[in-house]
Parts: sequence; C-alpha cells; structure tokens
Amino acid sequence: MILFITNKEDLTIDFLINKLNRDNVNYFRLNTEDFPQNLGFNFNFKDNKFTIIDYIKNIEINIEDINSVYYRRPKLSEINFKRLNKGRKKFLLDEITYCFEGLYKLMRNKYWLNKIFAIREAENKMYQLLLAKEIGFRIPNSLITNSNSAHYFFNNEDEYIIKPIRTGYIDSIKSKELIFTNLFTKDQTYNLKRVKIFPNYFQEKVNKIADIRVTVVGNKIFSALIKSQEFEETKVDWRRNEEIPLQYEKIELPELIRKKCLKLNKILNLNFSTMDFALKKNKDYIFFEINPNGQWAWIEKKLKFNISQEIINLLTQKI
Amino acid sequence: MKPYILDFAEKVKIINKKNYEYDYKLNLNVSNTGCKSKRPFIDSSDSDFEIVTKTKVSRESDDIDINIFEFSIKTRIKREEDYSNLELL
Repeated sequence: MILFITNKEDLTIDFLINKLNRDNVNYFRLNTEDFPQNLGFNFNFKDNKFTIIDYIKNIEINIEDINSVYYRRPKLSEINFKRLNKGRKKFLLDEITYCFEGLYKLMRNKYWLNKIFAIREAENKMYQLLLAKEIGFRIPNSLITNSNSAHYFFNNEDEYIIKPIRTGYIDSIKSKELIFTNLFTKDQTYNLKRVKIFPNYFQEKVNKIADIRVTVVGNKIFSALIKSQEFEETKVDWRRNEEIPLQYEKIELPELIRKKCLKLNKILNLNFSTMDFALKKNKDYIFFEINPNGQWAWIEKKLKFNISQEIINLLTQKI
Repeated sequence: MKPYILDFAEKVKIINKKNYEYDYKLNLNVSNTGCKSKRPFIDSSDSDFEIVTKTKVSRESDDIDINIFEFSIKTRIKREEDYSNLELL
C-alpha cells in the first residue's frame, strides 16, 4: 500500500490518486488536518500493533501494510480551539505534531519518495549553492550579508538581485504576501545602513534568454524551457503575475547538466526534486535552486509530461 | 528603518470562491458544478486550476504549513541538545 501524507486541497496529489483509482492500486490518503476529528491513531506497544483509523470510511490501516510513502504537504489540525488560551492551543498542537512524528518514526524502514530529513536538509538555499558549486554547476555570484562590506559586491553593475533567504511567504491574519526574486538597483546599494540591520540575500543579475525547470524523478528527467523573457513582468521571476500566458517548451538537457542534476539528487538523498536554472545566450546553464518538494502538476498538464506515472512507478515498485 | 527584503512584499490574490470540493469517497477534489456525476477537478479545463497550482508554485520551496507543523519538534530537539542556547532560538 502507498501512503500519501498531505492535505485535502493538495491538487497535485489528486493527479496520482486519479490514476491509482483507475488502476485499482491500494493506497491511503492521509489528510493531516483531519486528525483527530476524522482520523485516529492507535499505537499499541503491548501488542506491537500500530494502526491509522479512518472514521469516515470506517477502516483501519495497519502500518505493517504500508510499503511506500509520499510526504507532500501536511497541514495543521482543524480542531476547534476557540475557547482555549494561546499556551494551551500550542500545547495541544505540539501533542498532535508529536503523534505524527511518531508515525513517521514507525515507518522509518518504508520506502519514502523523499525522507523528511532529506527534504529539510535540501531546502537550505546556502547549502544548495555550496553543493551545486562543488559538483560543477555554474551559480550566480551570491552574497548573504548584513555587513558594511556588501559595498564590495556592488561594483559597476546597475542592477542586482535580492531574494528571500528561506521563504517568500508572509502569512498574517489580515492578508497574505509573497516576496519574489526582485531587482535591487544601484540607488538602493548606497544605503548600507539598511543592509546592516538584517541579513540580505544578494545575487548578480543573470542575463538570461529563458528559464529552465527540471523535474527529476528517480533517474528520469523532465525539462521545460520557460519563455520568461517575453513579458516584462516575468523577466526576473517567472512565477510572478499568474495571469500572464507564459509559453513553455519541452527540451533535452545537455548530457553534462543531466548528470549533474542526478548527482545533486543523489548527494542530497532525494528520489524527487525540481530544479531551476537560467539559460544564457551562450547556452550556459546557471543553477538557481533545488526544491525537494517542488510542484510538478502544472508542468505535467502544460507539456503533457508523465511525471505522475514516474512517481507512481517509484512508489509501486516497492509493493 | 526596515529590512530591505520587506520592501518587496506583494499582496497575494486570494481565491474566495473555490469551484471544487474534496470528495472523501474518491479521495480527491471534484468539480463543484452541482451535477450528480462527480468529475475530478484536475480533469476540468477550469482556469482556476492554473491559478491555484501556480500560487502554490510560488510557495513551493517553503511550505509554511509544513514548517509550522514541524517547528515545535525542532525547538524541542534543540532544547534537549543545548539548554544554554535556548534563548537564542
């Protein structure tokens, strides 16, 4: 049996479920926000019987029967905490979180598309740059700093890049905000006081003719060219402005780049990842980042890639 | 004076009206068309599909839900490893 750890709104997992339903393959979708109202755990250490209970379907899944796991996008429980104070709410959410941590430990010997610790390790952008450079990818000149010496980085160029060090997502009660990759102009570089008050992630601005999105599943590679330079809004970050009709194209990666993509996944203990590159006019590939739990359904749908089938193949080969 | 990076925060367009809903029987999201036959939302040509997935693309390397989900565990592990640094976490 395949176990999917995710949430109800994860449309990407729907791509796999849709196929598994058609092929009658045994799986269980664990939507974590349903715990503990609609889902239960029963970890019996006396009898060594560990089960997940689905109260809606009235079924019990024995963890012994799970062969492979795809850890996607778990969400916090939707339990109603309205009458509890903040400390107690946090205590209860910690308890729930620890239940899940226990579940993951109970499944430590199963096949995971990507193990959680590998996802966490691979997510660090500084570590990514370090490894990418070590295996021979070209990376943009990068500086993470809150030092006055940043001015040495800002030489004669008029434009640089500034981007978040970790997440570009700001969630608050009133609104949600995103920080994309942005241009940082020469005028801004003069205010070193602002550079000093907080760590900043600066990069050289790469002059690219397109962006490249690579999706690696096992030893299979799906590569797409994104015509990001056709629109002003997407020149720096192609993810910006969702209403722009960006064009995509299937491409074959140069053999050397292909090998390096596989090598990076191997070093990071990943069976799946997505990677972003810039393509320069001279055909150089500049590595931007790797996403160990990246989105892939949109590009499958756009270019008719068979990413979902390749993921299923990996998850079912252990059944 | 605020950190430079906050100058670049942009409001996210929030989709208030979802035209799909989770179906516990099929274990996936189905189009919310009112028809009796349930059709997987991902099979529809609905433009919302792209907006929803692309919005998530923007968040792909940094799933906040996962981070919140795991934060307490990481904190606890740290606590056990190094009491002296607790205040710095």
